[in-house]
Amino acid sequence: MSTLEVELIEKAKQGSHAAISELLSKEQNFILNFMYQLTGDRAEAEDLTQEALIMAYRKIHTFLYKARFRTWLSKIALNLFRQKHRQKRKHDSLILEEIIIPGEDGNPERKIIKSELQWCIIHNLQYHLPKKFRMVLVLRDLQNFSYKEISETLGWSISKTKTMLHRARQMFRSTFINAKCKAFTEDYHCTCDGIKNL
Amino acid sequence: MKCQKVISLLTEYHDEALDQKIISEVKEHLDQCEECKAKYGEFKKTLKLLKRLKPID
Repeated sequence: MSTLEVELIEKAKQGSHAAISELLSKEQNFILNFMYQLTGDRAEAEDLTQEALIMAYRKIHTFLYKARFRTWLSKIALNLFRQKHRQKRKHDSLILEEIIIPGEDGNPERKIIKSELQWCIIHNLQYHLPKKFRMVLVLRDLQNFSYKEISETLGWSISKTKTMLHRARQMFRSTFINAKCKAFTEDYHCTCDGIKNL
Repeated sequence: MKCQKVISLLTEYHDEALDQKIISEVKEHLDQCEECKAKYGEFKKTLKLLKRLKPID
């Protein structure tokens, strides 16, 4: 934690609105992306981010330097996400090749593949991975948290963190292989319905 | 080290979260075993794919 960050935290704990605003604005984009990677929905990610920042604003006096400020804030956001995503989402299947997506730049095929991959990554995270796997994968591989930070955020032991991360990576890989993703196979067939919204 | 053990350690091997001795053993196995080497290649490919998710702002 940098000296500047500690100074801002101390000022924020003493009631400085400017300090807490500066502190939170530095983390806003990080939390927004974290929530987007977990929910796959920008509007929902924005709502969760807003709620997390407000909660952090109110609870800053409880921050005790046991972890990085970012880890503490991530935990707040993650708890909000967990509260709102208690039920598993369901979706139907569809074959990508049945969907016709018009191109705009004279090279429609390339354009489709590009948007397809972004969509598939977020969709696989959202629908094909259990929440616990999604959380650990996002924290480690998209947010670059250390094993220790992940264990602090999720309330797991280091050993459980390692095991869950390994399983999450295996499952994420198999969802792409099973869906015959172009990155792994030559014939691409996405088997999810949300592709219609591309 | 046997294949099954090596595969179970790929996450920690990739993240450099193992003791140096174990890292050397896994590396030695991967250098010699084509099957495990291919699996590790696929493992790395998966992570590379995941990291292609663009951030929003």
